[in-house]
Amino acid sequence: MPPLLLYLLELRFRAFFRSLRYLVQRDPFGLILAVSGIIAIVVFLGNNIHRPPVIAIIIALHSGVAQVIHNLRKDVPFLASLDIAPKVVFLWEYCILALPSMVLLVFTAYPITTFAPILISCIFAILPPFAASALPSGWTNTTLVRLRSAWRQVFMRLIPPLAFEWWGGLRQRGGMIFILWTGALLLAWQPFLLSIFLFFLIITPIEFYGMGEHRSMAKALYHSPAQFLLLKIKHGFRCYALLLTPPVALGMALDIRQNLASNGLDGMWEQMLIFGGALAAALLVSGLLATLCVLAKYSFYIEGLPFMFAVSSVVVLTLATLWHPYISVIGLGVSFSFLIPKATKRLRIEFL
Amino acid sequence: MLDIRDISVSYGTHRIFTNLSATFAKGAVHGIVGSNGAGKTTLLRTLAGMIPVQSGTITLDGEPLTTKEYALLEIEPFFYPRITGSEYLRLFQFKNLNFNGEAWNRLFALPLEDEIATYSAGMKKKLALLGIIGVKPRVMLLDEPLNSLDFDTSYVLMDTLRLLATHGITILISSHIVEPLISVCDTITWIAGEQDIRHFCSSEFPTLAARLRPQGHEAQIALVKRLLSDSSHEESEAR
Repeated sequence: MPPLLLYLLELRFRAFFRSLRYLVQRDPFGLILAVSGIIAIVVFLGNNIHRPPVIAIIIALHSGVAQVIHNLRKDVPFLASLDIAPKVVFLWEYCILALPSMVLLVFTAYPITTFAPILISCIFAILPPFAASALPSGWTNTTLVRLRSAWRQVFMRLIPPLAFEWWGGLRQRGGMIFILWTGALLLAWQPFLLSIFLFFLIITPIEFYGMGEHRSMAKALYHSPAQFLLLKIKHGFRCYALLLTPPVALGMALDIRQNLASNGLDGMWEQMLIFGGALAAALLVSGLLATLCVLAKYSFYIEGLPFMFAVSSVVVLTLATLWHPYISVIGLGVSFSFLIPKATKRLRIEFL
Repeated sequence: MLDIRDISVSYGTHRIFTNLSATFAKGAVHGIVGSNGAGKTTLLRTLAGMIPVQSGTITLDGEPLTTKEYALLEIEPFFYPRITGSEYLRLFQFKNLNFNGEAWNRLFALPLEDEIATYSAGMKKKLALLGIIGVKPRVMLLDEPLNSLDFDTSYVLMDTLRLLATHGITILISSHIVEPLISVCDTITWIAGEQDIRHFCSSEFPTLAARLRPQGHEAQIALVKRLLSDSSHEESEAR
């Protein structure tokens, strides 16, 4: 391993331990809750290690965290100026990040999946990060640019004017969201592929909440913590619903059409009920995502911590508990009981 | 010699440069001026390979410019979170084994054992400058280096740049104000538009300064006066 790469990894470890030390000093209760949550999830995953959905959850957790970290990277020019290939650095960092997932996957019913986090790490390392410093070099004067612009213009008209996370996020990641949204619509007839696209459509906008806006922007909307948080959740819900509902509706409609074609009109009302249920679930997930993102954002609002990482970890870890009916109740309960008082207190301190 | 030949650059469908050509002599300090949005940062980032050129070539002494040969100081330099000043400077030792960060720090007296997050904007810029100066690249690209620097440091930096130029380093400095560049630069390039790039040698600097002097701002001042009186009128009506 080149000495510079070794030193860079050492710096990352030092930074991580400094962050931990900072947390121990500033917010020991929050740290205990976060560590307990992580341990609880790991123990739970360990106890259910032979069940196939657990494999998907572990892989999804790793890819979610890796995606968020990768897309926020701004060190490409800096690394290039140090004469080290950024992709090599990314690969090593993501492979180290993959170690906990790999350790868990070794004990599953399909140990071959141990290599999946490494594969995902390789894919992210190869892809260019969509960070603020990255420039839209790949999207130059093509039909795709026009299509993306047209889609963005229509989508942005439907976004509330004060949902600045989404305005900024879509300007920055519009291309990616466009690809994911279009892909989800085009592949709506294939439930497995649709669910993959929906997964990335869910986790990509989490990044939008990882950039703490300037206090003056937030203060202009602030009257009380409850009013402010509800307003932001309402905005987030509308945007998430716009993203998730059309592909889910189309997927369900195609599924119903197929079922009706094979079974006739016998089960039509049941099918319609399922369709309504799926739409309600999409809206419920949108609401939940918006609530988690907003609460996580304002719980860690403008602190010296790796802010984005804190927000995404809370949201992704809570989402990971949703696959199980009982665990989801505990996961949501713990998250909300941690986030609501923390966000309220933080807002009171910021805007007193 | 740094040679830019017929480069065209655009952001999506928005053209920044069309067939831009310029030559920057070796071992000299070159200024780049222009109003906000003229393309100064874009030019430096293009030279640093961060923005792809759609056509044209960038060469250093006849060979394509590579990352080993330049160092770029960005307007907001990048730092890894939660690292100290000395840890940051040590990164540059891997590029230049002879670089002694502690020794170079006598220039700015920064608290290197502190985390960079505790530094002011000016201190961060000084730290990034130390890294760039220390590696002694063949081409130094400095984007608005004087922003957020105090008065004394600006003078120290200017004299340091002149000394570096005498060691054969080609230095490009961008600024939106021409006055600080006049004392240090050998040539100044004025980016006046997409295809309107003008070069001035030191004897022509007074002409350039005269041309860039703000003119006709009376209309803007009149507008501000009107807006202020309108808003106070509205406030009194609301009361």
